[in-house]
Amino acid sequence: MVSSMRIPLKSKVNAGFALALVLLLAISAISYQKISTLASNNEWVIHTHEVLEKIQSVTSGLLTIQTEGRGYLLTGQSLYIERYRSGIKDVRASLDELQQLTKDNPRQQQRLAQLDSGFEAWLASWETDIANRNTEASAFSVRTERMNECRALIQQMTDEEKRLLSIRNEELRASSGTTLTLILVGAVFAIVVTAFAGFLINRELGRREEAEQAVSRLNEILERRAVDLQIANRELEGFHVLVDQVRDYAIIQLDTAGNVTSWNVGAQRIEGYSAEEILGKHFSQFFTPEDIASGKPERELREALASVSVEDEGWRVRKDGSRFFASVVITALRDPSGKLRGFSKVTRDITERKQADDSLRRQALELARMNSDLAATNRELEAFTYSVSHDLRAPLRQMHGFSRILVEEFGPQLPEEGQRYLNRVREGAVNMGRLIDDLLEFARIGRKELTLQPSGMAAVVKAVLDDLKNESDGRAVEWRIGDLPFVECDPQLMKQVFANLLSNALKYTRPRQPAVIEVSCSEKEGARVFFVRDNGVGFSMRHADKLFGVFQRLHRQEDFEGTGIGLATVQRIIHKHGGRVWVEAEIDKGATFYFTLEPTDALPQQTKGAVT
Amino acid sequence: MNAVEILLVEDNDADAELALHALKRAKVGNRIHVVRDGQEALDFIFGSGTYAERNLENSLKLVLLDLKLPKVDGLQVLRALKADPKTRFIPVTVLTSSREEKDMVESYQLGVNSYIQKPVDFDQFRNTVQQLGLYWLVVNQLPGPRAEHD
Repeated sequence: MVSSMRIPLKSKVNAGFALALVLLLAISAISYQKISTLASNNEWVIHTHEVLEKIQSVTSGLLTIQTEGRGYLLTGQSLYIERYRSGIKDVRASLDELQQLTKDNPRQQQRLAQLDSGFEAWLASWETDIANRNTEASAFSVRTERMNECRALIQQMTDEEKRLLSIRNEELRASSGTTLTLILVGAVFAIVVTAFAGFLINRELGRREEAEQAVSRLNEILERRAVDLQIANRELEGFHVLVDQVRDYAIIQLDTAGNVTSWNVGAQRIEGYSAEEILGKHFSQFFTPEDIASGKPERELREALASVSVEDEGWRVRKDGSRFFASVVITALRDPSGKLRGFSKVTRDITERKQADDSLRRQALELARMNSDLAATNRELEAFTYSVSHDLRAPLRQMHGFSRILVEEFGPQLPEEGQRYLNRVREGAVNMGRLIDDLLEFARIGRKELTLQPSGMAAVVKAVLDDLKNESDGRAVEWRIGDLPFVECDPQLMKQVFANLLSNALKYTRPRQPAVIEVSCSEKEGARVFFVRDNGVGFSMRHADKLFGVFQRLHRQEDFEGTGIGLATVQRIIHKHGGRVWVEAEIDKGATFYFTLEPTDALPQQTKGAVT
Repeated sequence: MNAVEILLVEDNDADAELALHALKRAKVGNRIHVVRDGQEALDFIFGSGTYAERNLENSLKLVLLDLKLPKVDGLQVLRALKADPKTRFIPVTVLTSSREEKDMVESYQLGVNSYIQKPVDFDQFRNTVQQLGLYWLVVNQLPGPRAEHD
């Protein structure tokens, strides 16, 4: 605040006060001296007045002696003589006093001595005359002469004193004037100096007050900062403790050259070195010899510098030489000015994950291989079904065709029994053809992707009924078709479902007069359940679990023809839609096939809970 | 030699004989030529190879084409026939054992005129073949040879 070039305020104020003090002392001394001079001057004036007064009383004593002496001489009365004697006494006393008073003035003393002797001479004249009662004029003139001498001396002394008085008065006036001036000037100067010192002090006090306020404001800020710093410190300490005790991560710091400067518990656990062993060592120690040879440690630091942080996964080496697979993040640490302070390095041992990944990758490869195997198998299967579809039927066509031609062209030459056998051959061929078609259809549905779209089930069922017209011709069939909703499904496959279910219903109601077949849909626990009910021959629920298997049949071929593939196909289609199919039946009472296209738990298991 | 009206492309002897039997019964069988593989079919249609001397002016009225054929398969024959402006108006009916939907779809995409699966039942087969012959040779009208070159 106060520059070193300036005189400190304290010295200034002290100097001011010292100056004022010196001035006041000087003034006091001068005043004292002047006042002393004044007093002595005054005394001298008084003294002069006293001398003058005594000289006057000498003069008046002389006159008394002269007057009373003359009175005696004239009258002879003793009264005069007494006054005359008293006058002498007075004069002598005054002269003695004068003698004392003028000791300081040799010239006056000299005159006084002359006066004294003059007076004695004059008095002696008087004594003689009184004693002689001499009234002669000669005597009178002697006395007068001597009296004049005395008077002249007295006049001289008076003049001298008056001269002294005027000098002393002058001195007194002069000295009192300078003293006053001196005191005034000194006082004014002292007041000015004191006032200046006061001003300085006042100004300084003001500054100090401001400074104190500023200091107290600064103090408040500092206190807040201190509190903040304490909090930050505590957090930092907590963070350090945290970092220190993290076990799963090696969290370390490197200096700008890559030497280790901090080491936590996790680092010790993962890398195997204690802090004492590793601090100050270069971090390339953690790399494999191959990586060190290829300059990887330095490259990682360069990359961290270039892009703040660098991530890497790879093999690293522990203290004991064993290797682990590490996930590493190196981050360049810079201070707020951007200067590089070092690096942080966080390492995780992900060997297990790596192994799991590797094993997963192997499994994925295995799966992919199996998948391609499966795809190959599928292709073979497709080729197989294609050739089945194409080639297996050709011999059947021959069997059927040539036996037919044989009957037509050579029938008359064959016995009736022979014709019947040829018919059996043709039936077998037709049955085998149907079997192949059904199997191919079943396989085709397994491969087919669903083409879902909102489809009206009423229209689907109507199309199926149109197709079945030939089969129901000439029979008494009562169709009961309920309200059927639109559903999201593959309409072609749903047509297949209804075709299979309805042709089954037609087939197994053949003995009924009339056959009653109901197709409807009901809501059950929020799910739409379709059902096809007939009053046909039914079956025992004991065998219901066989119903949906391929080639599973509950009736003899002679009673009801069939391949045993239709319901398996129905189930496959329903399952493809995510739905379920189940059945309730009773021998001679008919059967009801239910299905839903939505997944729901609220429905009975495939064949459970049915009527027995 | 009378102009061939029907070309039957069929590698299976029995099927070929049955088809011929059915067509003869329908009285359309006297102008049928049978080839046994796809290459022979192409040679016949375009007058190349062993059929280099065939008069292409006497155009076919129907090709009955099996799909599964040796050397060149039926779909390739169909593609070549329908791609050539001189032959693309010749009606082609695929007559096959295949029920594969992709075969059917591809055949129609290539411009086949009809697609028929050979039934096992000979009565149905015969009906089908006879109806085909009657339809394409008698009922159906084709543009004249000039139109083919427009």
